[in-house]
Amino acid sequence: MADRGKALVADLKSREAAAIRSAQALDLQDVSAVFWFSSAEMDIDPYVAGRKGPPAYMMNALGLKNIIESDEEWPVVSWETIARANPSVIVIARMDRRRFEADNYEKKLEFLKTDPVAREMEAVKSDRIVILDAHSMDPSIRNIAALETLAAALPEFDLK
Amino acid sequence: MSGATASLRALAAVSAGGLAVLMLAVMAGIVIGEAPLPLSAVLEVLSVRLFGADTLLDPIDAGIIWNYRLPRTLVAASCGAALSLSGLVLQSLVRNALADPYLLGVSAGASTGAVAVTILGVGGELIEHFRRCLCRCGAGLSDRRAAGARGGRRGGADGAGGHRRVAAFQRADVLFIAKSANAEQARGIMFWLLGNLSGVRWPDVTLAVPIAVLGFAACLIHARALDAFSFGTESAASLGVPVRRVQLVLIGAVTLMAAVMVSLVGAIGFVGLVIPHAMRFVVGVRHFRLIPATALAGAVFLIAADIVSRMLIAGQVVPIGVVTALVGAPGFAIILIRNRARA
Repeated sequence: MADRGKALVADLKSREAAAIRSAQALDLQDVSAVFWFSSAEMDIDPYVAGRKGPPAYMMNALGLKNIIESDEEWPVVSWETIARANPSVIVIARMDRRRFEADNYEKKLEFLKTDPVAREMEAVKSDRIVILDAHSMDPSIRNIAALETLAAALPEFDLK
Repeated sequence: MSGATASLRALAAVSAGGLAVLMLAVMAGIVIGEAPLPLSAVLEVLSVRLFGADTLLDPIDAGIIWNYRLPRTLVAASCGAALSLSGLVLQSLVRNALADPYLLGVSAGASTGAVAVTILGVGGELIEHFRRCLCRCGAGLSDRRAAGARGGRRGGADGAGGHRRVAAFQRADVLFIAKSANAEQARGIMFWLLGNLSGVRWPDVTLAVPIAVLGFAACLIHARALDAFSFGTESAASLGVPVRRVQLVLIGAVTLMAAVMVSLVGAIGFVGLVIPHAMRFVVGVRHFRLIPATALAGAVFLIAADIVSRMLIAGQVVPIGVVTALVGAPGFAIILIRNRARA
């Protein structure tokens, strides 16, 4: 049992290192990101990742700057602040929950593309949007899979 | 003849002054926000949009000014005017100094509907919210009218008790439903209980402004009838006021205004209570003056409250209902004490 556990940890660590290496190879400068989890109503201020949770770890590991400066796990930040920070990459959460309209990632995409301010963000105009499972944004071994997905998406984005 | 001209001129001057104050408040609402944007940028965007000038402004900044802040400020103004007018009319109609759509439970009724939709998941569309808000408001008000009618016969105080019991019951409804929610649902519900203007866009303006203007007109037309109601329904009837019809129209107007505003921004308390009382203090009790003064003060107050809610804690928006309560709760206490002293 203990051996299987150690093997799993080793495997996760090597996958983590590989994802980080692939991001380092891109030599990203001044690349920023925001993780949008959901919103209580479609148009109101969204829940986004603060600088202490797993999304912040992923951004740190891959050399992305989190535009959110809150210590809360999922603070509510206004679209005004997010749009002005103009992140290079937007990560949105996909989930089966349908408590709020914005739980649906397709609704989030629709908002980003139609809101008169959000659609002007660089990440939206250049279609630099990554969809990740919401589960992988909470602390668990799935974080590594999310890290890999994000790292794999970056080279296609033509980031400087 | 010259007297009439002079009073017309005075009316025009006062109206122009009121509009100027409102415009200034709206400008303040657009200029002050989380992201610092200079006044020159705001003026540029407005001139581009209104007069078709050319601009080199960043589209995001321009969008924030035109698509976020301006609609938000206009809806805040409409909402403030509508809620304070609702309070004024209810206070006059039921002859109860503590009447207010929030305290009487018109807003609570609307939030109950909205919260039920959020947690029980009965439909998610805005139209559904809206329909429910209207239904709940209607139901809430008819309870309340019954209580008011009883109270009217027995004297004001009992009627007020009845109103507050209904409001408390409806708020208990909300709390009961809210108790079965988890933390994140609870955060979503806060929107309906404390108000939130962050989701306001242009389509909301096209609903809020006409409703506020319509409600204002309905109140102003009945200014004299409302004066008569100050002496009770029987005195109003003996003065030739068609009591039933006026009650129906005005309660309809109040319900519509409160329902629409709650459906757009959630329940914002104390505006309808404190503003009319403050204005009685300033312009007196005649409704012909009181109605415009209340509408204007309510609009300016809610714009100011929205600004404060955005600036109070940096990088975080305090729910606007908290700001209005900070001002309103002491106001409520003062009114209560003054009423008791008079009784």
